Amino acid sequence: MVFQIQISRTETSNVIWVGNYSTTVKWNETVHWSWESKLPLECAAHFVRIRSVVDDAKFPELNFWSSWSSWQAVHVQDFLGQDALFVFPKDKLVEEGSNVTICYISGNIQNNISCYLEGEQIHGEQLDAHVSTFELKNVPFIRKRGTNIYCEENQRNAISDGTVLFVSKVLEEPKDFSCETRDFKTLSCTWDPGTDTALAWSKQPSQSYTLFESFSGKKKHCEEKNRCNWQITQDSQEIYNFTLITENYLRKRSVNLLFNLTHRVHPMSPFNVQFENVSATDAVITWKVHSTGDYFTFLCQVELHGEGKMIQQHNVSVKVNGKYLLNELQPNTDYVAQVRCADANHFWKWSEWSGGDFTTPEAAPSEAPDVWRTMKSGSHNVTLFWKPLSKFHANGKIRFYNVVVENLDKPSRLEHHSIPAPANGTELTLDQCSYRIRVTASNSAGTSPAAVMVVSADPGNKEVEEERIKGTEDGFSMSWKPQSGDVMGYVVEWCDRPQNPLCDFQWKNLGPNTTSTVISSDAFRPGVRYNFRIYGLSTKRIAYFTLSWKNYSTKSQPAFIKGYRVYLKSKAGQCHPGVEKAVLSDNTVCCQYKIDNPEQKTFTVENLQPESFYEFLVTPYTSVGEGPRGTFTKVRTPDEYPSMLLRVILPVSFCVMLLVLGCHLKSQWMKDKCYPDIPDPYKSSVLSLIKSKVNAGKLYVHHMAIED
Amino acid sequence: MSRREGSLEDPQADSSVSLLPHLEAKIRQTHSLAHLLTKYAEQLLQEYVQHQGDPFGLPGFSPPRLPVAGLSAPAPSQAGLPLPERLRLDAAALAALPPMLDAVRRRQAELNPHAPRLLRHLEDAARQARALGAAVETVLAALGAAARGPRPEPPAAATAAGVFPAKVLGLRVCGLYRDWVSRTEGDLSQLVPGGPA
Repeated sequence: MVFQIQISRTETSNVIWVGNYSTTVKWNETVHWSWESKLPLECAAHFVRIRSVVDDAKFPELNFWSSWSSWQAVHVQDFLGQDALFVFPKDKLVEEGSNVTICYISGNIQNNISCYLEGEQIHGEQLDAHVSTFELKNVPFIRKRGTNIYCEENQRNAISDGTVLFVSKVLEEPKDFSCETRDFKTLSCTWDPGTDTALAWSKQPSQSYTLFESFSGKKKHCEEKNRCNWQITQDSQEIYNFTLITENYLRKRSVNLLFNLTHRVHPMSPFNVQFENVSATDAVITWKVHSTGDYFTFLCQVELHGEGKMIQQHNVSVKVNGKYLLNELQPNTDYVAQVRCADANHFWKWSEWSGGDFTTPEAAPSEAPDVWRTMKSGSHNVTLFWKPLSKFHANGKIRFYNVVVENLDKPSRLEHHSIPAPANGTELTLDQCSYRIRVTASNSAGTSPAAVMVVSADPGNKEVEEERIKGTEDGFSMSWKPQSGDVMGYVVEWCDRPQNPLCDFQWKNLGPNTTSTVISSDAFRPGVRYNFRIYGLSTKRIAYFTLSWKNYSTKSQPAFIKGYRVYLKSKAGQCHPGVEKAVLSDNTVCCQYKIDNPEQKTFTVENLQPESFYEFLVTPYTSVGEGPRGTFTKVRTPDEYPSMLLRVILPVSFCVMLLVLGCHLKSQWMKDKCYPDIPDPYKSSVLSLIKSKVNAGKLYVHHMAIED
Repeated sequence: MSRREGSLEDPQADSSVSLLPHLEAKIRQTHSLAHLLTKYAEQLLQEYVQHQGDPFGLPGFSPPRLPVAGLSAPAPSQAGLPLPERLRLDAAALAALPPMLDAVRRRQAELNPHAPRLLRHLEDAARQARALGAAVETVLAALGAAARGPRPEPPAAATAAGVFPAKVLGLRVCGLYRDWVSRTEGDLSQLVPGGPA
């Protein structure tokens, strides 16, 4: 049946609404229908009437409208006192942005009633002598406690009334609706609920959320506003079709989600993370994952962090137990390693990280210390300095430095010194011999390669070129002429107070092709004089020998000794630049060294060739001339690179021996390949055959000769 | 203490009578309490209007004069009554206020659930009104001027239908609380030795 309803206001002739309502009816059954008036019913009399028609194809004869019912009056607000003023609707709940009609009824017929919304006057229309209405369009949300609407009679402030309009925020559709499982027992669904539409005075509670799953037909009311758990049943349902429904007193919204359970696996974090076989450069990380079935494979990600940053990242496929070798580690270093896993077949989310930390043990230092030395003039004391190894090269805490002093002139003597760290130098007391000094650094795991330095015996009074340079903001710029001969590098040393043991001694190593550099340092102070020295490091050892005639007493001589002459003969007959040549009485050429100090009783002849024969002679001289020249004494300078030779000769010899042995064993093969026998036709069987033919030929000729 | 010595029928005429020290101390103490609660009541009223929204709290706002069942405002005509009678009216009003303040607090808990300070102050006001009323009763009893017969139970706190009327009712109750505490302070000041006659 179809029911047509008319609603009038104030009087029956003023029809304000007509509408049809279609429904099936049963005999004697009450039909319910409602209509909400925009104008509060209290502010005017309303009238309603109804008529019907049967709209059923089975009863076409009944398809005509019935008569209208009589008007039913609806009077909500009856008698008003003279001084009454009422504002309606009372405590209405509306949605933000909607339109609301407010009205007041006054017992007095008057025109001087003012109404205010949140203290601001609003203007309306007079419906009749007692009633005025106010249309509020697009009402805003102000506060959960409601919006005050208040009217008062201007003349007599005592007459007033008000109401509170509760404006609700618009219910939002849930955002980011998502479901996942961590254990195949529970589905965890989450969403962003948006604004809470709860209002004060219990006018409207927070919106509710309900989960509905269409394949199973199950429903669950969610107790939390942004999450809900759903029990996964044993019936192996894989596909889920969820509808999340949210509603408040004013509105209802829903969102859908269709997914495959196996595509929404968010694994729990790995556990039992351990580190095994931790060495200075490697470690094995192991872990376990929570099993979710025999056919489940995890993709696990391993991260290694050191010094606050990620160093390595690796992916590992895992069923239950994970294992991975972390290599290229640094010794004596703290590391943090962590692992997380996800579904290898259908990636959804990574689990949380699980991890731990470990420290690699120390390893032997990997680089020789940077060592340099100073020598006091006129003294054989050598002060060694070394710089601490960097963390990268130290591979641990340096415990001590080893200094081994080897007397090259008396090879059997070795001095060992152990200097505890963090010392950065030591002083050695040496004599006039040449020394090889080896410096190594040691930690708990081992010893570094050695820094080797050779200190020659007293080099004599060499003149050193001195130049004065001026420093700039960038430092001190200096250059030098490249040294002749084999130079493996240069060292620039400097300090501010060279004679003072507290001198801040520093040095810098430079390459062999360097002829200039700029020395800069934050320690340089303006106005301070710094002494720089530049040394060339030779790869070639210069041979020398020292002569001594300490027993020669100058005072007991018949004349005044003014000095000495040293004569040196060599096979090459060459003298070092700066050394004078002299021709002896036998017309041999030799080198002459002059010593003008009669008290000097030693002299080092240097810049000689190693492993070479020389002859020398020392004679005094007076103002008249030289003393007698005795016979020359022979001397041989030691070998330059005996160990180097060994390093070269031995392998070469070994290779040669191998080659010889090989050739011997394979001599026949060698012979056939390299120098096969030249075939001798006279020894050939073929040759025998040919010989026979030749002999036959000869007989034939002989026969022929006879017949003639 | 004799009835005569304790009588306050005409405190001005008997101003030269020396009150017992403990009674004097009690009167001073009660007067100080009333003075303190007058300040608190004013603060409570201001705090209340701030939580109701405009036009509450706006200058010139004149809320509907809803009657509060069981309690009216102090009337100017009461100033001519004898002091004991005035104190009896003070005590009666202070006894009627606590359930009203409790009712206001309950309605405000629904309307302003996130205003714990206001709710606490309303609870404190009910307790303080009860304490001041009891102190005034004690003074009256010490003076032999206590009310005769059992005091009638204060009527049940009025409830208002609708949110706006409930706000207005709360405003009226807080105003009455301030007015009666202030009146009590004034009345007690006449008892304080050395106070205004």
